[in-house]
Amino acid sequence: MTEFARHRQAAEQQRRAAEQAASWYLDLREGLDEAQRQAFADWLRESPVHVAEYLAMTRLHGDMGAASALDPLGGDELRELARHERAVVPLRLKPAMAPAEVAPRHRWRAALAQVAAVLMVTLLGGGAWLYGPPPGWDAYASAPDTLRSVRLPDGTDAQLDRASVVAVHFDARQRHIEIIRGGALFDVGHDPARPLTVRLGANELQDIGTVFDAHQCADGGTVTVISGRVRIWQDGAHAAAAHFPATRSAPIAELASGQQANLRHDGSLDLVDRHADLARSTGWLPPDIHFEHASVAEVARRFNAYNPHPLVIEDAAIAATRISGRFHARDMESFVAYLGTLPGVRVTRSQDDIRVDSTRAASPMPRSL
Amino acid sequence: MSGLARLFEEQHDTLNRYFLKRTAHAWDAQDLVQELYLRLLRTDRGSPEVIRNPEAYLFTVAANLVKEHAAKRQRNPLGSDELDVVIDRLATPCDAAAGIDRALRRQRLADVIGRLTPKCRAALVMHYRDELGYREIGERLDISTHMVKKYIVKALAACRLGMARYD
Repeated sequence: MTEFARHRQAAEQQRRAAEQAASWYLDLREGLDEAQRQAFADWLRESPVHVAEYLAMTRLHGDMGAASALDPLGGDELRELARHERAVVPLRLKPAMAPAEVAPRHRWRAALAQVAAVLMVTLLGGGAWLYGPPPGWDAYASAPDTLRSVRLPDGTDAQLDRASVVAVHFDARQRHIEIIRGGALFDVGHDPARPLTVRLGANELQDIGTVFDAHQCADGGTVTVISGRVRIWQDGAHAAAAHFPATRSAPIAELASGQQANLRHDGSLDLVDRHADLARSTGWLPPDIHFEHASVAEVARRFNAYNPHPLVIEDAAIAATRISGRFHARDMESFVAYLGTLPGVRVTRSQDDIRVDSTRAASPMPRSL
Repeated sequence: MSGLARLFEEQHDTLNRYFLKRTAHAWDAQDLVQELYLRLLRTDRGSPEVIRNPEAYLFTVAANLVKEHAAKRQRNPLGSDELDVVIDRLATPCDAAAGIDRALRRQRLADVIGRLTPKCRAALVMHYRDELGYREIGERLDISTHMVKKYIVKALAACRLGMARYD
């Protein structure tokens, strides 16, 4: 067994012991029959870890009432949050397309969702509601103290900073995202038929196959490009009210990887940093990348969001390989080294990127046995 | 050192810190757990006092061990048999620190709860704060009673592991 596997096994055992302790603790509160009491005693005798975990669970339990009372969300909000677990708190302010036949129960739920949406937005700050997304947009929000990642319908990954709200409107011809509050990192899904634009204050950002960060700040906004290119446009005289400026002159800036623009409230360019401190600009991102049963290709994309030196998975079989684990997001080397330990994987480094392909592909002829 | 080796070292440190710190407070709680475990093993598996209430038996033995330990160190024996005190002592070096420690611990626990996945968080908070039963929670979240318990178990374990990081 590799050391990595050993470590994961130890962590897994720890988690299992904690879950068993929790399960027993709850069962005991409900009362056990004799066979169950014997099973519990046997479980305790299995390992000192079980004894320690059970004592720890008892202590945790003593704090649970007081700690859970500190949760700012009410019952209805918790319920809404849970209902949208997969969708990451989407504030569907208006259903994009109401099905012809809606069961009463669902209609009731939709109404509830709207109430919850209002509550959430109120929680995040009254201002956000006033400048809320126009009808037909979906909004996604993150709680004040947590980051959220969301996969948009076009495959774009948006990582929302704390207390952020973004609105999204996609149709057959265009993809629009508006940053209503806070900021987010976008890893844009490729779709040449539907260009993607991001509205940030009085600016519109046009993406060209990119990972970039857009944030509102006290002085206006900042745009940081991790990879690819982004064009920045300033609104015209009438554009402030409209969401789609009809006419445009030239972009005020075009950013490439590693560059950052600071924008003023009126949309004018304050300054462009050609060598932005990427680690600082993306410092708000989660410090580790956690994935379960994800494909190597997905994980590589997530690392690339933090790193201008891209990791390219060339072999389709490797790209599709499913893996689980946790890595430091700013330590792509660990992940590369891990990939290197997989059988049949070859890592090639160049000045521009790190390529991962199969050693099998290296042989020019199929090997006959 | 390769990136991977560094990763292992860091994670091992974290893991070791976790295993050590969790138990290595002034009260040598690790010894206590070991001793407690040994006494459990020495007790006849089918002994009536264990079968009648294994949890009470565990806590009684733990409390006795804590008292013995205190006596051995020629401190004042614990004035109270209360399990809260004993269990608090497992992780808290002295009485004066316990109050402050408790408030901080609860705040940290609240932070951990806030980071749970939504279903786990909802089930846990509804259970402990709103004092709802599994069935009521299941109705609210539109999931089975069985799943409610599963989410609470997962949430408790996540809280336990999340709090261990602070130790």
